[in-house]
Amino acid sequence: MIEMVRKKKGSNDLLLHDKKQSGELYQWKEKYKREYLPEYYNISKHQPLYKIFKHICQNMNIHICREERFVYFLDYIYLLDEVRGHQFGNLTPDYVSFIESGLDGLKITSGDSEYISNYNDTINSIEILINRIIKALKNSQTSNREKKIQWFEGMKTSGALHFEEAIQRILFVNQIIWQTDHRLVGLGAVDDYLGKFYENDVKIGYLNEDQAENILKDFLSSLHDYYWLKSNMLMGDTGQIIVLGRSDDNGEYLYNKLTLMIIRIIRELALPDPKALLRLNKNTPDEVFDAAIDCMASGVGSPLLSNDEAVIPRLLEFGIPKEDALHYTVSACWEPLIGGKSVSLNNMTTLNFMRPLENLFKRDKLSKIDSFDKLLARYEFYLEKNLRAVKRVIDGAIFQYDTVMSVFTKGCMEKDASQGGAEYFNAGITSVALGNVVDSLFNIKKYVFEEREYSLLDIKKMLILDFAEAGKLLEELRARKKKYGLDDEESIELTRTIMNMVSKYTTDYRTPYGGRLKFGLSAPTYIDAAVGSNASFDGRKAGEPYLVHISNDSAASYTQVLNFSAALDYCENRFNGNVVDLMTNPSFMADNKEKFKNLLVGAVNQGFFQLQANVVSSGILIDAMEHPENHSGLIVRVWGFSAYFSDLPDSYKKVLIERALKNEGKIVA
Amino acid sequence: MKGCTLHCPWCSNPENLKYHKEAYIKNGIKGIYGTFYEPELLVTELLKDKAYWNNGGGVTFSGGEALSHIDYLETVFKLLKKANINIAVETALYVNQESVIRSLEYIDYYMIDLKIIDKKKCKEILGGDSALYCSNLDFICNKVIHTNIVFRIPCAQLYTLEETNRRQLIKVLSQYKDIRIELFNLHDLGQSKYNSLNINYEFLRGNFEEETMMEFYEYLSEEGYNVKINKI
Amino acid sequence: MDEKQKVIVKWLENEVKGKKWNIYFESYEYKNLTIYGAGDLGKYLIWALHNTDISVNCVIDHRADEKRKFESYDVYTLDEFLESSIETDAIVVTTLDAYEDVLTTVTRNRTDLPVMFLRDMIYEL
Repeated sequence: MIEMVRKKKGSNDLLLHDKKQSGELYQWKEKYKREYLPEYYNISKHQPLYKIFKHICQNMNIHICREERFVYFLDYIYLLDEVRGHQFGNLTPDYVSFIESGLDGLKITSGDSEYISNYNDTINSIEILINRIIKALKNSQTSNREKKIQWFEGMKTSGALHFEEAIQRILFVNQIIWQTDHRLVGLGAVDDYLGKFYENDVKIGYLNEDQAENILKDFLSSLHDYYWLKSNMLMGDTGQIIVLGRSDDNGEYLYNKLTLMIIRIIRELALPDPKALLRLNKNTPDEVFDAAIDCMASGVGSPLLSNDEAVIPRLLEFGIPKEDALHYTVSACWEPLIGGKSVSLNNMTTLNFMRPLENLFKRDKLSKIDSFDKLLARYEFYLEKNLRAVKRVIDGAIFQYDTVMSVFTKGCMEKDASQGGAEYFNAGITSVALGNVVDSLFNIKKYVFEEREYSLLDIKKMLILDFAEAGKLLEELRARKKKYGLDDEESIELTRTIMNMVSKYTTDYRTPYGGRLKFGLSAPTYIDAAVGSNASFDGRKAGEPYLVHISNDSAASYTQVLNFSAALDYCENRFNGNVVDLMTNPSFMADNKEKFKNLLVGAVNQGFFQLQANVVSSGILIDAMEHPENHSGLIVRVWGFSAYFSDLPDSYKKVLIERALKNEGKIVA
Repeated sequence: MKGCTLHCPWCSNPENLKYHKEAYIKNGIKGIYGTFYEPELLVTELLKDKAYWNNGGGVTFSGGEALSHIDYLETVFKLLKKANINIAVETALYVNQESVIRSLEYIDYYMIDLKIIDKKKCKEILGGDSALYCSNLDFICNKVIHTNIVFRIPCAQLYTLEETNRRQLIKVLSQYKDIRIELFNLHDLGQSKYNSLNINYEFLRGNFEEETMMEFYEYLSEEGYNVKINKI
Repeated sequence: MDEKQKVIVKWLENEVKGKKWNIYFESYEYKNLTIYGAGDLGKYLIWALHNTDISVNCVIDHRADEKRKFESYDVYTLDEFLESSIETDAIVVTTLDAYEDVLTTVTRNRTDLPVMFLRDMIYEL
């Protein structure tokens, strides 16, 4: 087992992931620590994080690969998982400061407090680790040994000089963050902060384009190491997101050769992770769109697209200074984040929009509701209660004293990140089932308040009894064209109304640390949140999955759902990820790249927020479910990440197959 | 547009053959094919997508036979032109010439079907007057810049690509050698619609072979035509 | 922590923060409640509603045959209650594993009678 958990890449990834998720691996590790590493075991149970971290740096296994370009390793045995509270994660650490100044530049040299002492102690621990790596390098037969030694020596006191060296620093910070069990670690705007190193090296003849491309390939391959360990709930959900492209103050589009190179490499490597998010604006040039569409058409599930025209104004309205808003990155999936400066947790819990509607039917005196407006008012009543529960979850979050996170988050010079030291310490929630609620409400409006065919009590009975006595109505509801995602006034208006309700009860809320709460319509838990749910009046039976993000599988056209997304109001605090999820067939995209580009250009101008494309064919998915051995490389988009189809639980595979069939018109949506 | 002047055996849009609303049943659920829109309302709906019509995009009118609705469509075309929208039409040209003439003012791009040329067969199989078709075709090709026209040929083995008709098609095409051609395969995406209308019809059987389409494509390419295959 | 312990911890937190059950039920405009579950949580809820404007009229419990009185209230089985003409604004289910069954049975027989679940509501005070 110990060999297996220390391997960078292996065929046992899914097995190890399952054991990790079930807790079996943790039990094994605890036993191993008690037996063979008693000192570490005791320290990890009783000491604060910065002391445990020191022990880790002093003792973790150093793994130097003979043939690999970079030094990058994790040691599961020494993974810091004694959290004693809410650990930070789903973040992008500050790579830039370490790249530009090394450890010396991160030290706090003035002031005298216990925190500063612990902080500097953490830096000393990192230096211990660096020195151990240097020693291991000296004793190794690794390729480019002297260069690597120089890199690590340089890390202690100064900035990186070259492109390759800067990437090694990114990997080193990245591995420290993972090693201390901060999950879903983003990479930030890699093309931006590596750009000047690349240009400089090319200018002085130190590097050419081909070499840079190979370096980047190795970089991304290294990040894909320990895939099972990094994967969160499902394989592929690693949060390793690279943000590319951006806007400047004048609305011009900024990108460089690295932007295109990285997109190209992601396509070529055909791995589900790491993934990319490409920022777009009105001035994004054709070659960037072309590269993105080529990559998306390959089915690799990247890049996700983020529309600066919609996102940046929302960040500014929220109070984020322009300089930071222009440099936004995202957390694991899509939630806008100020990388390097933020410990905002953007996915603290999920708001289930269906819960208030369920509660309305269960807890309300339905005979008193005699109009659609009253029904909406009662929905708001229950939504407010739901939101109260959400806020209580956030209020109850405890954050671990975390000097490692503080070292790699700008601004924590006086206070630890957990005490509000970072510049941004907001809270974010995702949501689920809004589409199902909108469709249910429209159906109730029609059948109860307009055509008066049923009463609310009849509906209640149908839903509680899971349509058992509903006759043909269930089929009728399933066959009805869904309204959510259509660009008609009614659908947009009702969706906006419900979003307004959420803002009404959350925009003035402050976390115990003074942060604000933001929410988004993207729905990572569309399957899990539906488990144990009642049936809903959009034709969904009890327990069946909710809609995926902003989508309408029964709508024929992409423009409808893009227009819908663009017409929603993301003001106040509603910008925590709002992804349009498009299903498309591989041949459709490959044969219509120009048209797809036009669609995206138009969509940017219309104002969609974010978009991802699931490029799959039902035929291939069905075959892959029956013969996984023939499709080991098949990648699909799950919620905000890509995964090998074969790694997914059957419930997720079935949802994808059904959506692909609906998209292809092979089943009724 | 609902309603067509022909009834092609390979038609994959049976719901667009009749000019009136039709009831259907799909998966046990009843519905109606056909919705009437006042012209202004239609244009409002269409213009929702205006943002996506960069690079020569716009609205394409198809059917059925779009040009058989010229009285209605002229109002729509006027409104779209007022909004500077590019208009294309997919037509089989089996309409009176006046409809064609009236369309000229508004249509920026014609996608013209070539089907069965022989007069008798055209009448029997499609229900159309091929002399009218040829006259309309000639008229359009004299009035419209050829870069704004594309010929579309459905590759129906037993009909359009049948040997005699193929020769006749080539004779027609030879008069307009600079006009682009798109060949397209038949498909079964319309089957569920036939079923929904309770029409017992399998239109694909024996009527499409990839090889035959490829042969025709290669012949046209070798003869110097600008031809491509549009795979559906 | 098991489910019941979590509820109790939350209840304690609510008490310390001054959150009141009667205020909660008043927001629904419910004045009269029936408690389902003659156990600890049912008892605490009854106590919490003492001397407030929210009255409890009776208790439902599947062991009604053994215990006809609970905290001075009459105890009925669910079937007995549904067959009776006892009026109430809502049933509050305090047991942690019976909610779905109670909801289904009540929905079938007295559809317009709200059924509330203490375990969910405790987070909403």
